[in-house]
Amino acid sequence: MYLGLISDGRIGYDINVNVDGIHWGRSQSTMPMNLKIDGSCNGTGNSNKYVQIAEMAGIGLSDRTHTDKGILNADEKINLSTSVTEIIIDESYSNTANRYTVDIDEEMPTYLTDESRMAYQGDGIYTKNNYANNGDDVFTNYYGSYLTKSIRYAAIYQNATVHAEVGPTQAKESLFRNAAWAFRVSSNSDTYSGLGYSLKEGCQDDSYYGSYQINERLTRGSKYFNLSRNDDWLGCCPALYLALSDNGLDRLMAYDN
Amino acid sequence: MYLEHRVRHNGPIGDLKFIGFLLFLALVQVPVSADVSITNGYYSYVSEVHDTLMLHNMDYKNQVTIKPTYIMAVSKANVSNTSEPSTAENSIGITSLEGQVSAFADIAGDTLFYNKSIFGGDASGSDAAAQVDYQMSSGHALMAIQNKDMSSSEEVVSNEGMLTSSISGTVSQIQSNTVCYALKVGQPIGFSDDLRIRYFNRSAEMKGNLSAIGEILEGNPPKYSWNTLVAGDQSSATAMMQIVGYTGNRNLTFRIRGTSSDLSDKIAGPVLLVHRDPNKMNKSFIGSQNLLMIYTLRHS
Repeated sequence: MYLGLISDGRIGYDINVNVDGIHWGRSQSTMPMNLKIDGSCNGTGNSNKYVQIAEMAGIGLSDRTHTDKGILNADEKINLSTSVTEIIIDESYSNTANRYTVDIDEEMPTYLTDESRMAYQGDGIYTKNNYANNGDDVFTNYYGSYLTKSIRYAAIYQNATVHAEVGPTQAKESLFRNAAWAFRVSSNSDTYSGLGYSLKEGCQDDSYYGSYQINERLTRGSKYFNLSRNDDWLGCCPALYLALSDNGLDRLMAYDN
Repeated sequence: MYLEHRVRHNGPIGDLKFIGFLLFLALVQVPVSADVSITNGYYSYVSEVHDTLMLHNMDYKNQVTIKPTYIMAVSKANVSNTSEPSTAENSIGITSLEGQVSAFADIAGDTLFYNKSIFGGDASGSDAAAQVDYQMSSGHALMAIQNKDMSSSEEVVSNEGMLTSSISGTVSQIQSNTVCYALKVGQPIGFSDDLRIRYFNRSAEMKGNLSAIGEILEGNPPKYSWNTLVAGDQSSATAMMQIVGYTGNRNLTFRIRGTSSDLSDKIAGPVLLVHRDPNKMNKSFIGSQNLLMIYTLRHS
């Protein structure tokens, strides 16, 4: 199965600044849409699967799976909702200070959920999953002759404020966003299991060689309140609030945006 | 289509070399010593805007609003240190439902002010528009615009050695017409304006020159006002240049020369406005004189 999304009709921006050799840039874009995928496959033989959702206000996923001759049962549900309210860019340059300053206020509500299950036995399976939310990446990697895997992922990106200063000696950026994601995996593989995440603040990459059963749960949320916007962020983002609670993932997956 | 147009301008203004119309479409990076360069792209359902700006000795502000159905940007730049010259080089490209608009400005001068507004068009059919305004006391400016109806214009203005004066210009596309207009007002020593338009495979060029000559007497300096206009639609494009000179304490001379690929050459003037001597009753050339030249290119 292959699903790729084209980039035409995108809404967003890109900024590139150079102040006496000091460079800074940022880009953000999305394609407003509502997408639902609900599929399953059961059978014997070889298979290839490639799913990618990319650059939806910084949220995306990819799934690459190859199976050699064997028995495969798999199903997947993807739910994607994206929109743009507005983007405000306020930039200035002071020649005396030799400094460029920009404030970007972007409101691009985006919501992604992925629920997939698979069971395989045969000559070999190779499968990689990656989930991204504006610089936060979570990934899994498996190969073996036997694999059961269940993944659930939910991500929200509501809005963000970016402040950057470029020059005279350096470029600095501050990013404040209302965003959250939750990830859960249960797997059983007989050869190799890999799991990890990469954040701005740090990363983790675990590898297990042999027969392992893995259960992992990761959750992250960030929130801010832009006083100049006069938002009721709790009222506008109940799904975001749910993601930050103890059983947030289950409630987040059930949230109907 | 490609048009390369070179003009040599002799006299107190100096020589200028120009580049063809496709230059601003290709967004060629001309090496310019600049304090800051900003290259931005804005995208909506119905339009795409690219804005590349290089500034030297200028302060700058820009506010952009991007919504699903429109893009709007308004910016201002003004001289930072008045004891140094300033430069502003700006390429603008807009792709909308109605077509493409490109604008290019290359301005260098003293006490320079530069303003710009961009509208990407919207879903209701409003046209994309780019407007560039500038004002400076002395310097030269190259302004060019190419519009969705296949017409384009390029104007080079030079104003050097001015005393207590200013020149300003505006290049814009308004509604469904292709309009570029510029208004220059000042108290001159020398001023020139080279305006070229192209409409499909037809072209026209008007060169205007004005200079103050002779002895400087008592009284106020001579003055002038200067208008250029380019307008077009689906069937034709028209360019106009008008110079109005007013007597003062020095002789003033000005003229307009026109050439075209299809139409006859034209010349307006020269006009000599003799200085107004308060001690003499010279009624021949008191007041003002007006020169006007128009070219209309039609699409066959």
